[in-house]
Amino acid sequence: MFANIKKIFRFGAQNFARNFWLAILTISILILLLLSINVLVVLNFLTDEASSQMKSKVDISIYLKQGVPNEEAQSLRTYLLTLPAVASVTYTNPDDVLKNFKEQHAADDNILSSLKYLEENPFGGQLVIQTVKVDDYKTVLAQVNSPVYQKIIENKDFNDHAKLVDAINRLTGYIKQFIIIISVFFAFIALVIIFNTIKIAIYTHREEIGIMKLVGASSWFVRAPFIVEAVFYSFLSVVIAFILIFPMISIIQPKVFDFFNGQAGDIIKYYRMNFFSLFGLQLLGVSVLSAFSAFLAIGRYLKK
Amino acid sequence: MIQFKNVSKVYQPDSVGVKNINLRIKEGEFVSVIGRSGSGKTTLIKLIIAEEVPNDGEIVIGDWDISNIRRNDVAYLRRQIGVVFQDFKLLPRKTVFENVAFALDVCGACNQRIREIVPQVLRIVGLEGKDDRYPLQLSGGEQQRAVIARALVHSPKILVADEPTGNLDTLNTQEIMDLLKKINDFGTTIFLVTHNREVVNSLKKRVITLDQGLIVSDEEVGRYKL
Repeated sequence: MFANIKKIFRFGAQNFARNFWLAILTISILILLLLSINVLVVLNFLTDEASSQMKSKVDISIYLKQGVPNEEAQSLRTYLLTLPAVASVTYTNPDDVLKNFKEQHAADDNILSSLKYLEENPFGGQLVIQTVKVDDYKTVLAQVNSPVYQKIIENKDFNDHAKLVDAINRLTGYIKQFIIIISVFFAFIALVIIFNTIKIAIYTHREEIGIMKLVGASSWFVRAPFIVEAVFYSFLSVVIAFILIFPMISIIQPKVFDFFNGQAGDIIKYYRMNFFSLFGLQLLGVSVLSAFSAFLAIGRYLKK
Repeated sequence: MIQFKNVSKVYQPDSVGVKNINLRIKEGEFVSVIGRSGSGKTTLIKLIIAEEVPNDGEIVIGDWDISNIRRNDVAYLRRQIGVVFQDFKLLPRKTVFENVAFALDVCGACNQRIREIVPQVLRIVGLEGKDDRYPLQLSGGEQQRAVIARALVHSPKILVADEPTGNLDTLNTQEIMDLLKKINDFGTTIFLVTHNREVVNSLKKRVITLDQGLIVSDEEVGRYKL
């Protein structure tokens, strides 16, 4: 058994060496395809990063009525913090709300002079809620809609954010669909390329295959070296593609950091942390496609 | 050893390979099959090595009915039948030793067995000392000897030879025929397809004559009568 496997690998390596230039061409095309796939991987990562960055800035603002005592506001805050969907709640008391308002409109004399005419602070306190997931905002809003809290709440603000969240979800959904379609297309191209390469390799070995069949080689023994050859192509192309990927990422990394203000988008870190799964999945994917292509390509030579 | 029972092979409705063949070849026999081109000689060989399956009838090799042989079993059948063709079918980039060893190699034989068997069969066919030569460095007769050596490595019970002397001069033809007789003397059944009148007449063995896919003559000690 072990001797047979050794022989199959030896024949596969011989095929590979005899079709050296064809192998180089095939590996080059596979590397280009793998690099394109990795561009999609990076695009997917950056989309997720951008999406989570935007979502982290989305919050629910609850404006309390004027004159609501601090204890009631703190009670609402405590209640909100007990909800599983809530990540954090920040309370701003009415004085600070007024102060922030003045700072925001420091350049608007009309607003500032209007405030002076008012004898008391027109603002109530404000609660800013961050949810665990951005889609949880509906759950949180439903909780504060109970009559107990309605009497102390002046207003709630999430409508604009809802549209933004929907837009983000739609956009990331479209991008992921696009990536899947392009990946399937690339997989099909890889299948066709390897199929034809192996077909050419088989054509150059047709005499040898005929003799193998004539002297009693099993179909598996005829087929296996070509499958091994195709897996060689896959392994080499994935290894070379990954050697090329890191310098390429290094080139674009500073620009990506600039885009995210240094807060996200560390592609190198993403590749380092997920190296084995990314490498393994791509190796597995290309190898399975290659083996399948070789399996199909040799099929007609095994009929007799 | 080989039995054909009402075997027919039709390629297309108007192209008959062989028709209603009934044939029984005993173990250790030397049978020559003659006939004009298109008479069905090569079809008989293809049926024996399961390169073709019959449309009708039954083919039994030993005790094995190969009429509807499974594709995976064909390899095991062919290890029991040595095949020699007119056009040699040697691999030009391999030496004589490698060409002969190839038949064992691709069937999963271990290297030790290959090193034992190959020199033995090269000695039988008279190619000892030429094992490191490439096919193009050999004469036609020597190339055919190498092919016979390759066919013998599995110690087949049957040796099928399709025009083995077709590309050879008279001297080499005689040498190859002597070799086939020697192999037959060891007990191997020989199924020889030939056009060579002198070969058939000098053998003084069983001769089967085919015409348009039918057996028209089957003589225990026959002569070439076309």
